[in-house]
Amino acid sequence: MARSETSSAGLTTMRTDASARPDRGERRLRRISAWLMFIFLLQGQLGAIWDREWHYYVGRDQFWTPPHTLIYSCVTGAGLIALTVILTDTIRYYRHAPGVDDTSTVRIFYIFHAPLGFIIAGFGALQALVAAPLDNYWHTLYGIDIALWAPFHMMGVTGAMIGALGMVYIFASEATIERVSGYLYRRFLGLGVLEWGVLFLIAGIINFTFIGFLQFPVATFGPFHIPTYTIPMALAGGLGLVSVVRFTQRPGTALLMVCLLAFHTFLEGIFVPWAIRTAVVQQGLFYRVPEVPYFNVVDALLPVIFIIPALIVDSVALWRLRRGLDLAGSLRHSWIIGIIITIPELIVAPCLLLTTFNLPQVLLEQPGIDIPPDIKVQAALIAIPVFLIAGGIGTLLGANFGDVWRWNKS
Amino acid sequence: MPNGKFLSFGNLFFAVFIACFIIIILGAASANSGPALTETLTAGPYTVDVNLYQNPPESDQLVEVTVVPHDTSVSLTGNIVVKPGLGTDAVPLHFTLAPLNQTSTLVTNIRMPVRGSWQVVVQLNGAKGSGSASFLITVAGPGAMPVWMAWLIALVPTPAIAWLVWHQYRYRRRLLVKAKSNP
Repeated sequence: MARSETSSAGLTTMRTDASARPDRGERRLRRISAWLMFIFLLQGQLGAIWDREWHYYVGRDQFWTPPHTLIYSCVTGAGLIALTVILTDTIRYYRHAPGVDDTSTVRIFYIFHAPLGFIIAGFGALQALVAAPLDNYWHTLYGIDIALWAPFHMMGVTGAMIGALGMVYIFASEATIERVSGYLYRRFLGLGVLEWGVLFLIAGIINFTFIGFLQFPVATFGPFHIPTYTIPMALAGGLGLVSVVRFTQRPGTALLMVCLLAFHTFLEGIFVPWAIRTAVVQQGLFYRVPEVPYFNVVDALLPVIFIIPALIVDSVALWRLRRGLDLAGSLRHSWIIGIIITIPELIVAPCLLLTTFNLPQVLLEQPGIDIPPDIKVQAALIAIPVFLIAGGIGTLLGANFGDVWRWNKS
Repeated sequence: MPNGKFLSFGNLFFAVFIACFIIIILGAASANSGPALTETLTAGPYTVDVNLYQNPPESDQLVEVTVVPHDTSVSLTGNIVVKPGLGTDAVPLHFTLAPLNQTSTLVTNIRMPVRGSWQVVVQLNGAKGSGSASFLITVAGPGAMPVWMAWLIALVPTPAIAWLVWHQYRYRRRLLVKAKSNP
């Protein structure tokens, strides 16, 4: 296949011989590492969902439960890969290897030069690993049912989120390099395989927040009990939906990402109950509750929360493109979209979790409880703006990160 | 001795050090040779001595337990079930007893993952039937870190995250300028 040539009109034609590109070695190193870490990430997310259910059905009898083994082998593997790439690229940087320079790496601790995504992912894995023994210590003190809001749970969860964010950086930077390099690459539905990876990773970040539903603290206003899980849900929704559209510059990708999220959640819903039942039998354990885990329809339908918000985000993107407006650039009005898309999330989520579409029953007082009007107003005036602000912040972050991922090559 | 100083300060110090070391080792060995706690229980038709080799047991640590029947002619099998007591947030755990060196003594290692009150239930089976008995123990935990310190440790990475978000906000502007100048 011919290499790039300049035509008589002075335009550079698309390069077709990707096998001869000078930075081929660096591309191979980063992409193989990225896909290995992708597998570890899927494994870790599966382990986290499994761990949540394991706590409920079986109870944590030791640190090395099967889900913990899955989680921490994932964290270790991903961390080691990140470290390997950081050290390898540092050496390659000082040897002036093609594709490893100041445009494709960042400097850290004055000595190391590595892609930003691997650095972020490595720190995330390190944080999650450090949190593990501290979390075990906390459990020995306070029991097996400490909430998700326990300090070292949050440390581990934050580490995992940082690691996942780093992986998005990795895939996005490779997708950007591929897009601007001029070499041909395969696309499906207009997206390259690395862009699909970004969508799947962002879907994974949103899926990770599903672990926390019903486990976040509950704010009480008299007889009203308002779960605060809505805050991370709104944050993740805004971040995920807007960032994919800003990154791909394609309307429709928000809904596509929700479809990937639904697929991911459905597979987990099939695997996790089976894994618990199998492990209980194999290890001779006992259930701590009367129920045996099976496929849970409500858990599998959680991605439905984000369908209407995704349609709104895609519609706004399409409207802007048709008017010749850029999808990237301004953050000024992004928060408005965040507030708008949070409203359907606040309505759909409780309907789904209570498995009813009787909206008054969901939003108003339960039978037999007479809630004073001033309590209702107080709760609404405090809780709803907080959730809407969370949605706005999520969208601002999504717009910012989406633009960075669109153009970052390091 | 070359300089006639057999009892020099250096030699004397060395001898005292060796003596102390031997005493400490012997003391530790003798301390570990017997059970730390013995409970005599009547489990149905069987009377047994249940020995714990650590008292109080430490949370999340393996503790050796032996069950010695008073009637050594009886061949027993059984389990130990440890059940969390009131206020101890944990689940019951089961451990199988195995014969110790082809004697009538049964042995296992138990582990209680959470500090607090636990009930140790010994379940035995033999020629005379089944029986069970129990006793209470208190499992010790590590020193409790204050909650505020735990949150401080857990939130240590937060400034780095905030810095990353701020840095990426500024980095975004540079990227967009570069992207617009190189379409």
